[in-house]
Amino acid sequence: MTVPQILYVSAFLLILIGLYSLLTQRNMIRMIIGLNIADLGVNLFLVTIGFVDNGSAPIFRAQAAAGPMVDPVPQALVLTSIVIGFGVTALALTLVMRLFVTHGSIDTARIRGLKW
Amino acid sequence: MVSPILFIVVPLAAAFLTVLVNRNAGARILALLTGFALSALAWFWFRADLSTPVSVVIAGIAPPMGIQLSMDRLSAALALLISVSGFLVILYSQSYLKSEEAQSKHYAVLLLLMAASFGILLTRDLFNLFVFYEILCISSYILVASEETKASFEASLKYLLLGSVGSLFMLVAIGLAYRVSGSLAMSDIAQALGEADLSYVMLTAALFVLGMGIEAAIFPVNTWLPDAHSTAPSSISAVLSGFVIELALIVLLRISMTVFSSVNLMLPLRYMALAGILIGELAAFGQTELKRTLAYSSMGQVGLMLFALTLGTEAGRQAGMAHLVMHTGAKSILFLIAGYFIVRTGKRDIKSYSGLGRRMPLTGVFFVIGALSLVGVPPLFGFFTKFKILSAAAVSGATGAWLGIAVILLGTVLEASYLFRVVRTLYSDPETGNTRAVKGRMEMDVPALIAVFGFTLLVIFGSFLLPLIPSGLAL
Amino acid sequence: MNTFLLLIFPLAGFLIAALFSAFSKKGLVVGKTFAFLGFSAIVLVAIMAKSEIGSIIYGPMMFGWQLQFGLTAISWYFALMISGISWLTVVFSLGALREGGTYPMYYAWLFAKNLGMLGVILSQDILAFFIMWEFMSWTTYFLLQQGTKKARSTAMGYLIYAIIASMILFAGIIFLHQASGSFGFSEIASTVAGFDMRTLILAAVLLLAPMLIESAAYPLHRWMAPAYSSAETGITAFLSAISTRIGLYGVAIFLFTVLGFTAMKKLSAGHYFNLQVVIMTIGAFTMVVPTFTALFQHDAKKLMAWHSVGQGGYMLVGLATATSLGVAGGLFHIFTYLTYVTLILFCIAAVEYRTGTTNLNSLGGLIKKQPIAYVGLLFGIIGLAGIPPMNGFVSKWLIYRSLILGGHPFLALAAFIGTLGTILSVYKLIHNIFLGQLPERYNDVKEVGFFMQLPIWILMLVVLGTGVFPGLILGWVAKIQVSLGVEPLAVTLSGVQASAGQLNMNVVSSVFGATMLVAFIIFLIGGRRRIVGQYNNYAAGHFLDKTVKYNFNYNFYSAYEHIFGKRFLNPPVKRGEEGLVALVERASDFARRIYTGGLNTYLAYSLGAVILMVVILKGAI
Repeated sequence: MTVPQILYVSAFLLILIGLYSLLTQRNMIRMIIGLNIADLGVNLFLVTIGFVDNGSAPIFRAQAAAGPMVDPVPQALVLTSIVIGFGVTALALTLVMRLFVTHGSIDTARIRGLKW
Repeated sequence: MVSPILFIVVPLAAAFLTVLVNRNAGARILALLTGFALSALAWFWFRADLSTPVSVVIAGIAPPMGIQLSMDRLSAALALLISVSGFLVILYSQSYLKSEEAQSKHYAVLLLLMAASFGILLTRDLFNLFVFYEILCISSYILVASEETKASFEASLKYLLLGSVGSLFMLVAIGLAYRVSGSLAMSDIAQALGEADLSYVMLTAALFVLGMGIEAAIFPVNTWLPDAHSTAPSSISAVLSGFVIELALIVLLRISMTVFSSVNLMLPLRYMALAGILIGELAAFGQTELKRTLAYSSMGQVGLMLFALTLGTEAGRQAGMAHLVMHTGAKSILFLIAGYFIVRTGKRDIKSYSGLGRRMPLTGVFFVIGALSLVGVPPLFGFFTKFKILSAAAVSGATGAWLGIAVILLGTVLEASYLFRVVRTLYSDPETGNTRAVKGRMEMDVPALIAVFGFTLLVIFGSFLLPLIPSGLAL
Repeated sequence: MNTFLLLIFPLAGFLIAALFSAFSKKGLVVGKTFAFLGFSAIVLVAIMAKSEIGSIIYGPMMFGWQLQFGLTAISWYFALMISGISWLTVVFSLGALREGGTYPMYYAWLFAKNLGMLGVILSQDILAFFIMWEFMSWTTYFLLQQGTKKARSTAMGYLIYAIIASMILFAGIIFLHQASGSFGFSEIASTVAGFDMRTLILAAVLLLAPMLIESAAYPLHRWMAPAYSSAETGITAFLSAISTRIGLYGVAIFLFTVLGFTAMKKLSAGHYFNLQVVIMTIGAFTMVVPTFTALFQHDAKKLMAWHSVGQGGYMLVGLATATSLGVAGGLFHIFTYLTYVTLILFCIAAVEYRTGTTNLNSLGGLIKKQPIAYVGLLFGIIGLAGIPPMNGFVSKWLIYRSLILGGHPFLALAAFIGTLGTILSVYKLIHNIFLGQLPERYNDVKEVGFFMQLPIWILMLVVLGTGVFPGLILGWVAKIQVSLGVEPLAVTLSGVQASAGQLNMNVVSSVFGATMLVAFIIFLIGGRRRIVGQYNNYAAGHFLDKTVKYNFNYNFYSAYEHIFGKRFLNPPVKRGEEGLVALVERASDFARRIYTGGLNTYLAYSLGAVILMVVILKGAI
């Protein structure tokens, strides 16, 4: 297996683990952790897209770098995505906190005031 | 010429300014001014000649590296719709929001939401779209929770988790698209995906459509909608039901028709639309809360638009766009009035509103007009759009078109029966003890009345706008 | 110009009356005066519009089609009936509406309803027809709400039926427009002629089903009686008289003009589907079942509302025969029924105005207190029962004759049974209101005032006059037949001179009058009469004083009701209706339960949707 293949497979596995915990966990905190794991998988996937074997860091220098550079665009994407993920996680945890105060639970099976 | 980037910069700057001002009065006036300025700007673009779209690149770097914004007729029309209804909702909020609340934050997030909406509309870069989409989602989550009640936290968290999974899907799709094209500009991706393996494109398309479809409230992924739209403050419900889901829908359609043109996304989307109409209207039929009824009705109406837009004909797209404009007007009327019903009675059940129509005569008339237009009664706007959708479906020859007509007509019967059950309650004799005050008028406050009147004008005279509504979904 | 004014006047009246009632809480007098002047103008315009028959005026452009309005022979006939009845209703309401009533928008909706109905009959293409039809349905809904407390829930029942009808018609119009590329009657007719059998049946069902719902044909009739009877009584008269008949106008137009005779022949020759037989069977059930339901009603308005359903069956059967006699009978019956049902309901309203009730169990003996209402009611029920010399006899005679000559013995039997039920129930009506024992509380009841009497007098004159000289109306009916393409009836002033049958109402009425005279003379010279007080009465050997009710006034026909009542008061149609509602509620419950509230379930939906979409996309190739 080449390096990108290994990375793709592990990204895929991370996403699966994340989704699995989102579907099966009833604890909200665990669900948010699951979301983060899936997010991690996606980020890994994005970075892998730009991976070039033996590539150098895509830094703009006076003289051109020897050999190939890795693709800088996915890295920029991942940076943005990490920031967004951080924001969303923070907001989610805040909401869970408030929910715990109002509902006295963070179990999704018990937080079903809105249905039907 | 004014740059279209102002659409993003102005509300963004105003949002930060509002937080800095941090005084209720200042924030209100600032938000109102921004809404007005955006409407004027949108009017300018709406009147401009856009037969060839106007593009700008940000920071002077050409695509694929730089980010391209493009203003075409569709974007201009939608921008006008967003800014005018945003302005009217801000006007409504002037009297609707209670003064002790932290209004500056509320307005700041609302303006942020508008900035993100314009961004989604204008951008031609897939990742930039994602960023604006996230801003839109996050500000929606915050606004839904802003009443800080038990129900609103629950709704907001559900919305957040579902939305995050949606953006996860979207991000994977963007990655997959980038992998074959090496670019993030939509036009490059469209070209690259056109030559790519079909199964690969299908996976990408499915992930993207259902990721973004969560915000657009397409049938199986719209589960958050009834909770979020019914527990949000009513001004926000009007915004969310009025243009946010529609906007996501249009952008989604634009991308599926251009970027993913090599696979036939229209067929599954059409069936999802029909399922959405049926399930939405049936579920709305069984509700006892007014705002929840309206939220389920929005699901049905989104299905109606999606059905028209996915017919694959020029007439269908135009009908869908027209219905979108109508729905913005009618649903905003209903949600804004529902907000005042809750303010006046303190209750959310339809049956607590008995006799309110007599005590709020003007409001009652507006409500009836909104409901009639939503049902599609001539000579109101809703009749024209519904007729256009049905006749477009009849001549399109698309698979499932006649089934769709039957479903839409059935949905209309259901819609009329539940909306006029509400009207019946509004004009029945008030039960004593059901309403706070037993005598006297309790009409909406003047700013709210003006705002609702604005939407009512759209609903009554909208049919004259029909020739102005564009239908092109090009990049 | 007059055709145009026929639409503009009601529109202006609606807007002005609505604005007026919005800004002024009092001032019923102003409202009444305005309505009187407005409807007088509409009647005048309608009469003067006769010279414009055949001309077309163009409305606004819609969906690339110029809406067309214009008068034809049949629409002028209807325009006169609509405006005339509205005028009489308004004159009646001058007296009947009291200050401080709860009808702020009464006149506004009456104008709007007129606009809707006149719009429907004036429209000369299906798009205009549909738009005005929807407008009419909704104004009916709002008009129905101007009544008792119960009116709001029964109006809702009407609305659901009406909107189902509208939606079926909507589908029909979309379908026909797609097939023919046009909204015009003649273009559609020529397209329809080329349809194969299946498409033709579909077109016929989509066009006729909504009309049958609106004309309350069995088994789609259940909305009508409760909705109409809980409206204000003047409105009940107006609605029973003309509103439902717009559905029959639609049947006539769609059968004869839009589908056309070629299509009808084709539809009536099929082995597994025969349109004429279907419509006639519906008509037969409509004649019998609602009439017997009327028999068991204990409320005068409800009783008459059920008759309005039942009599519609005669009109429908007449139209569906498509013969000279039958169509004339059907069209004429619309007019005759309109005159006597309005007369009867105005008389009931006059009684209600004084006594405050229409409950047949509590009224009685009012003959001497309200003699004019009594005579009016008598004229009306003679017409309704189809007895000479009133006009109802002529129209029913035409229908019977066409059924017998057309070889429909079972339909003729149904018509006779229906008439039997009618006679039984109108006897109950007049007996329980005017005959028998006068309850003490009505001792100082008086006759109603001039404005309420005037329409009663006018209608009595019309019921008798067009009965003795049916040619006055039948002459125009023959012209309608020409314009519809049916062989016209040979008409004289006094009756019918066709080869299919001859009727001279002058002779009939003379014989009838002479018989009555002889009977009266015998009554005068006959045996001893002794006038006794109403409590000088006994039953089964016991004297009845005023504390005991004269038993026939209470629960009239209770024995019949005991035997047959269940079948008619809880019929299978009602159970079917309830079953349908239950079905919708269960479906709604199912749809609601998709939204379980569980977050994990929702996430599973999203994931499932992606997988499903990929599968569908794969499968679609």
